[in-house]
Amino acid sequence: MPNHESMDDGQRFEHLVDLASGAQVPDAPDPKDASGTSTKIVGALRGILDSLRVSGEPEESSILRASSMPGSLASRLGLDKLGVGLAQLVGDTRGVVLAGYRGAATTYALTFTTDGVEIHLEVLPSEYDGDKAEIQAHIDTGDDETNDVTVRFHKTSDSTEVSTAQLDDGGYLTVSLPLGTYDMLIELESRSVLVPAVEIG
Amino acid sequence: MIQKGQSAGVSLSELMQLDEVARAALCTDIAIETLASACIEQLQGLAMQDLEHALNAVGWVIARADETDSGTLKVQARTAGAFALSLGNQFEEATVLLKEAESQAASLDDLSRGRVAQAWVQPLARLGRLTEATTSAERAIVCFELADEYILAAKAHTNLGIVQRMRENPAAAIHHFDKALPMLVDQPTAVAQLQNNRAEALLELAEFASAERAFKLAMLAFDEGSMGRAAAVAQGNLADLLGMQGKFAEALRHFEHARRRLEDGNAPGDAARLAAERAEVLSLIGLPEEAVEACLQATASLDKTGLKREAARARMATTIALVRSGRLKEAEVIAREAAAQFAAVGAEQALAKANVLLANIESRRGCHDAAISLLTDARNSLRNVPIEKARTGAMLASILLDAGRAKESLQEVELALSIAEQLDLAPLRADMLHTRARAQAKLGERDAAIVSMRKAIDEVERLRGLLQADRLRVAWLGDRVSVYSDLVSLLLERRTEGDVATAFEMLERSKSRSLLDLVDGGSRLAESVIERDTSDRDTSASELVERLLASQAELNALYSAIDRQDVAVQDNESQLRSSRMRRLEQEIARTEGQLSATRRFGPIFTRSLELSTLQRTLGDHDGLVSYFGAAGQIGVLVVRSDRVHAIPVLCTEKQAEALQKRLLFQLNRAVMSSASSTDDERTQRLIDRELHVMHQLLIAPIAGVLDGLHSLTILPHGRMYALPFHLLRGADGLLLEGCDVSVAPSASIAHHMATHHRALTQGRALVVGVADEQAPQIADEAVAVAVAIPGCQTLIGADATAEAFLTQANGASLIHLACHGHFPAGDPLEARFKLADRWVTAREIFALDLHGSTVILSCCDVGRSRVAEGDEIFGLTRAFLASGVSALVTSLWPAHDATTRTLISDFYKGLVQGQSVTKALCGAQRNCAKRNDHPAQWGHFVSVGMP
Repeated sequence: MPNHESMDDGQRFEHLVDLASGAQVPDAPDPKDASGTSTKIVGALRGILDSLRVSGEPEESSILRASSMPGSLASRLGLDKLGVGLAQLVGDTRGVVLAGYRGAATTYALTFTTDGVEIHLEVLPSEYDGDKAEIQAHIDTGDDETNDVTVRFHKTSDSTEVSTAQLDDGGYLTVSLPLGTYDMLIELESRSVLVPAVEIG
Repeated sequence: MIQKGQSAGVSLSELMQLDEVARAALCTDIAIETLASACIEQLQGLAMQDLEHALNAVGWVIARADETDSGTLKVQARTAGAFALSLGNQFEEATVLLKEAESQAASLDDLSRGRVAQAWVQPLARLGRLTEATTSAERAIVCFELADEYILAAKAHTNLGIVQRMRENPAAAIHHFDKALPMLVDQPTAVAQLQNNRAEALLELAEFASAERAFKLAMLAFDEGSMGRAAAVAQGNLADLLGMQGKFAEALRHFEHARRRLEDGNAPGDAARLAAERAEVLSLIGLPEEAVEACLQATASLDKTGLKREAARARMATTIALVRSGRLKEAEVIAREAAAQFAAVGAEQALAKANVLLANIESRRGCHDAAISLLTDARNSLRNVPIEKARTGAMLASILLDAGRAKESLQEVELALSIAEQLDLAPLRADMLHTRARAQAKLGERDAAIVSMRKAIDEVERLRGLLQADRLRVAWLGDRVSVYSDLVSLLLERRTEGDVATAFEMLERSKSRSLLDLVDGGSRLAESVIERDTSDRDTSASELVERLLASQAELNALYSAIDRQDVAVQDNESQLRSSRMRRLEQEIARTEGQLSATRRFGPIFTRSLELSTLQRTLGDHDGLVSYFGAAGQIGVLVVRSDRVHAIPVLCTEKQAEALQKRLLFQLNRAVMSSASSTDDERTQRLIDRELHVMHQLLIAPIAGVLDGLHSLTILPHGRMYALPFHLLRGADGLLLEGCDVSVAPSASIAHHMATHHRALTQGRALVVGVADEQAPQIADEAVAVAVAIPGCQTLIGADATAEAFLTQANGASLIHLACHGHFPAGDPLEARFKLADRWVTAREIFALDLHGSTVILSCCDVGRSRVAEGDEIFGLTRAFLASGVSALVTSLWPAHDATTRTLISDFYKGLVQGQSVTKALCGAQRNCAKRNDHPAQWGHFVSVGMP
């Protein structure tokens, strides 16, 4: 039984890869909650991957090994996107009253970051269609890496692609989407970033 | 009341108001032949005056006739019943009765057979069975002539004329009407019906003057005969004719009167047809969305009543409106439905008209060849209908031009124009002159193009002069603003002597023109909407005012229930409230529309400012920058006291909009970040970048001409109204740091404001402040302002009720308002600020008299506007300018409580020292910049007017 406390990020990542690919079994497997355990493993994998990306690239072969979990489950858990940087929610203005202002916000904003990339989304209710919202986004890579950047919106529930847009030269895009929850995949020149479960509406 | 046994006094109308038993008891002693005969005689008249009772009487009257041994009475009862049913649009039921009558009449005389044949005509025609209807009418004429019944024969000629109209043969129709007319001189009702139908035929032959006369004669005759419904139909037709000629206000007034005549709901088909015709006029004026809604309702109603032709026509009106709204997919579906309906009733010309609409849709999709092919075929089918020939030619010319075939376009438009000139189709003529000018410009005939453009503008202006309601003027000019901008482009390209001055004048005519009318007309127009007009003889106008006031009161009560959380949080209760509010807002807009059609608005028109007048007003260090759009590009004109500089193309409108969106996105982010205490270093960097990009786009190209200016008035174009121009950042810093900056909808409005300014000392000041936990500094701000202006009236906290404000605001020389504000983008006339007891909306501000006042709005978002074509802004800024203010400080985004408190304090220091409003505001904003306050916290304030 490995001692998790003494592992560094690299070792912990390899251990989790083993768990995800089935090469090892979890310490205390719960037969009633296999998917829950898997989710926790993937969550841990994601967290550690982001940390490894700051200190140095994880082994490509390890990522491939972890991604080799059987099809639908892998897709559901996002393991097939382990090669993609996962953005974390750092700002959410829903429910925030504009304290210190003489009015109210009619939009809300969500901010995500990962590895030097900041994604700021503003969600505006559609003026004409109550079932849709307009999303304005700015993606700040810090180094003007916004040429030929494609952004894809997938339904979180079934991964269907619903919209694709290109960033303009300032890193902005506008898209109109039906209310729902979306994964946003940003294809930068040298890497991709996944913004998971963006709630629209 | 009739008495039992008094046969001579039988009144069918009164009988039908009794229950079955009472009716039977009353008729017991009347001979059945006498009773049946009297009732049959009255049934037709009753149907014309009280359709509901007549329809109830049909079965009863036939039953009485069937109790007799008289075949003639049985036939007469059924034909009279069929007449009533047809009038109630129950055509299939009418045909059942007529089949019975026909078989009963076979053994009777010519007169009886003629009556049955005559009765068949209307239901057959309305059901689209036109060949059978023609045969029936012809048979009726023969029978009546054989029976020496010349008046009846004349009536049959009238019917045949109507059917000929439906068969798209107006000349044959007139032939039959003219045959009937001399024999009907003693029959006022029949003459009225004939005149109405004759007028419609004349209209189809484009004999407008004769048609108008005939409609008016028909209306008069129907009115004299107390036939309200028929009079309404004639009046609707008259309105339709007036709309075609560009007499929009008159047309809408007649539509409204006709609509009210049909309000009892007994003639849903006629009411729906009227609504569809009115919608066509609304489309023509430039209110397509409103037209779509009306048309869809009318179509549903006409489908229900089985009036296929009318339903198809309503679908055509819907298509026109949808195309104008850019909703091509829906338009195509409905146009195809209309075409199918016309094809089903064999209306070939109407079908060709539907194909013209489909061609328009194809052309807008860029499929020019398909459109041209459809139009060429349609034109062939419509060659004998002058109006349609002109319309089709105009459309073909426009499509040819879009397809790059300018020479052919010019030939087509010349041809169509000559027809439009003969027919006096003013709106069409205006559009054709514009097309001709565009074609000439494409062919390099610039001088000729300029002449054509000016003629088109003269036509647009003339028709605009006939529209008196603000809403209609906005729509009409907004729909045709490209004529002005195209002329400006040509003039700036040519630049011979006087061209730049003319270009400036044209720009002024196309920028916020209707607002200028309101500003100059002051509150007179607004008052006439809100207040009762006792001089109006039409009593229903005051009912409309009552309804309007009631809706407004309820709406205000609902607004007062909104707190700021409601905007973000939507629970069930607030959703219900929102839904009710939307309904009330629609009701208010509808009632205002109806009201505007009933009132005698005095013409309130203002001349636009001339360049030389503006230049005389400007000091050596003052400048004015007017942005304009033309063919998707943005250009600019810079005016100084001694020179004018023009750049016809700065960038594309799309480019400017995209960059502006980026800037506003970052500003909004900064506000949100500040409210949620998140990092704002990044937002500052991003805002600075976008301010610089925007400066490069809009200011840098004219920077040389702006050199040395101390004050600058900017006239934005389109969405630029949301831009904080004063914050745009060049190499030397913010624009504001180089000079005082104000904005205005047009130079004419800015000039008007400047020349009607009242000094602070010329009247009393009113300071209003309503603080709460979210914005506590409002209270301090109000007190500080009150201290700065000795002797001012104050309404602070609970004292600041809406009623107190609306009462005391009238006539004040300065109003300072510090409270919460809100701008609902979907309905800008409901932009509002919150006082102690409720929200006060833009609608209420229109009714105030603030001539010469200075107004400072220290609230969130109250300077935001929705911008319609023609740079007409809608929101609180429009309301305050229309109420007469001479200087306005307002806010483009949420106002930061603490920074605003400090800025306002600095502002009043400058103001009481005698600085202008713009100078004092810009000075205060410069202080903020020096203190390194975040521009998102102070840049929201803009000064509207001339520095």
